[in-house]
Amino acid sequence: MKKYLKLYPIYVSRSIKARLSYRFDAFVGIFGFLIENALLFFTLYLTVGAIPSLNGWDVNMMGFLYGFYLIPKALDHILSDQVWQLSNGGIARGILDKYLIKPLNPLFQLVVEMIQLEGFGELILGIFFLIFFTPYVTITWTVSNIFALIVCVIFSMLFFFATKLTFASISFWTKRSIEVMTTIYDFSNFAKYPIQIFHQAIRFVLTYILPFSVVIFFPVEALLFGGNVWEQVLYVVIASTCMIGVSLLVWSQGIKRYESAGS
Amino acid sequence: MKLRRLRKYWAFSKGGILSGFAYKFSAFGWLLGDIVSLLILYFLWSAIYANSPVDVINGMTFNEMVTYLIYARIASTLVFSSISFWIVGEDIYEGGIALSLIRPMSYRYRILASSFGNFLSTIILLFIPLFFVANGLLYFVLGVDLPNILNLLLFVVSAILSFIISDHLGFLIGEIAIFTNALFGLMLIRNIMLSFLSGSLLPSAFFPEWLQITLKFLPFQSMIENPILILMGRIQDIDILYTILIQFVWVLVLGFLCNLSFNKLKKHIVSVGG
Repeated sequence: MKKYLKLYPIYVSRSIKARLSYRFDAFVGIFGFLIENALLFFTLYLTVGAIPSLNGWDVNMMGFLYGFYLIPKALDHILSDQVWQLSNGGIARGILDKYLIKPLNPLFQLVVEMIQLEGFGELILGIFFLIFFTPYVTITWTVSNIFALIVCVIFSMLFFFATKLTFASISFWTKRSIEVMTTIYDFSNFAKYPIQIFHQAIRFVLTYILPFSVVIFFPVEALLFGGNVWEQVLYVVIASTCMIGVSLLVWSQGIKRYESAGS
Repeated sequence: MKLRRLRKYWAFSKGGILSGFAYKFSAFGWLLGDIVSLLILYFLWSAIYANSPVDVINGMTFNEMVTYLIYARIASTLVFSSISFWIVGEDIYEGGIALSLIRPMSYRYRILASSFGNFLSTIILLFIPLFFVANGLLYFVLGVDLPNILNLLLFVVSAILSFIISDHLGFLIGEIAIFTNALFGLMLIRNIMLSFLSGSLLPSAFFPEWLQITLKFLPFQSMIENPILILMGRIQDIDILYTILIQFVWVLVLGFLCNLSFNKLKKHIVSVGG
């Protein structure tokens, strides 16, 4: 464990240096993700702006929720973007070979391979939204609330990561799973909206099967409508822990197959 | 354009059709992902209308809104089937552009021809099946009338012009690749700007007034919103001709800009020696 903690910053700085050697390209990528989310939110803003409120959520609350949704997603995007390579035919190309000959955990090596600067576009926008919309919504900020949100962000980020890893690992069996992985990842978009607007079946999926609403929407709802924030944080931790368990299981079963493939 | 010259370009269109067919089948995998966004759209708009004190928002009823958004989603496949952006970007990036310049044909028209081939394969493999499914759903689930044949034909004319406008814009943005290799980032910016400004995410009636006025002087609305309003029969009689004429003007203006910028770019390429 100590070894990994020592190696992590070295890998990270190496990756950032590599990316910054093309500074303008990195900037275009960051700006791309920023403008994409800004325009998607502007669309939502204009949509919800045409009515008084959406099930009790006005545009400012929607903005706050959108900002919160962006932060864990962005952190995961920055820290573990390399996982997409598995599902994109990377397993067939043998991208794991170089990890398996080193005395380090292959999953660790896969994740630290690349720091994806583009994710900063989403992160900057997310933080901006939280700051910008806070004065327009009714939140009583306490140390406990802020701490709860931080715990929530960390575990939501892990949830995104675990979801990606689970569906990327399917590629060990199917050689390619990027379409399925993208679809599942897109499910996170449901969490940008009040869950009450969806059909019961979708609500069930978002709460118990792919609990994106649990890790993003419910904590924000508790915060804005005076619910018990820590209770929601508990659910976030449970959901993320379960998902991480599943993802590590699928990954470890998959990597066993990879070794025996003899490629 | 003499017929013989056209035939030369048609060879590239055929190539575009064939390569389009080759990888379109993975596109069906991507359509799965579209189901998620369509579900979100449907429930979001149901909730929007349920929360609205009036039945008509910005001139559209719920059924019209859903029809518009589904058509927009399908028409987007046509507009985004333009691949000139990628061809130019990669030619500049890999230096293939120098080779293209010694061929006895216009570079711009050659890749427009390839791109048009991809457009045709998109119509056959994606647009037509999706259009049937969508209209079936709209008819049986919401009771929306099917589009009439004349409007459909006018839409096809309009869609071809939309595609050329989109391809010209793609070419212009692709030329930026000479300054940066971040094709993925450029693509992201291009796609979201096009989606938003062309009205494929939201009809422009929802936009603030300053933006609506600005858009009147830009080509984006000619790309998705206007063709769809023709298809839905919301643009009538003489206005249809007027709409198509405006599209035609944009084709000419942007085509001129493509040639102008490419001639400048060519000098730059020659000066760095290929």
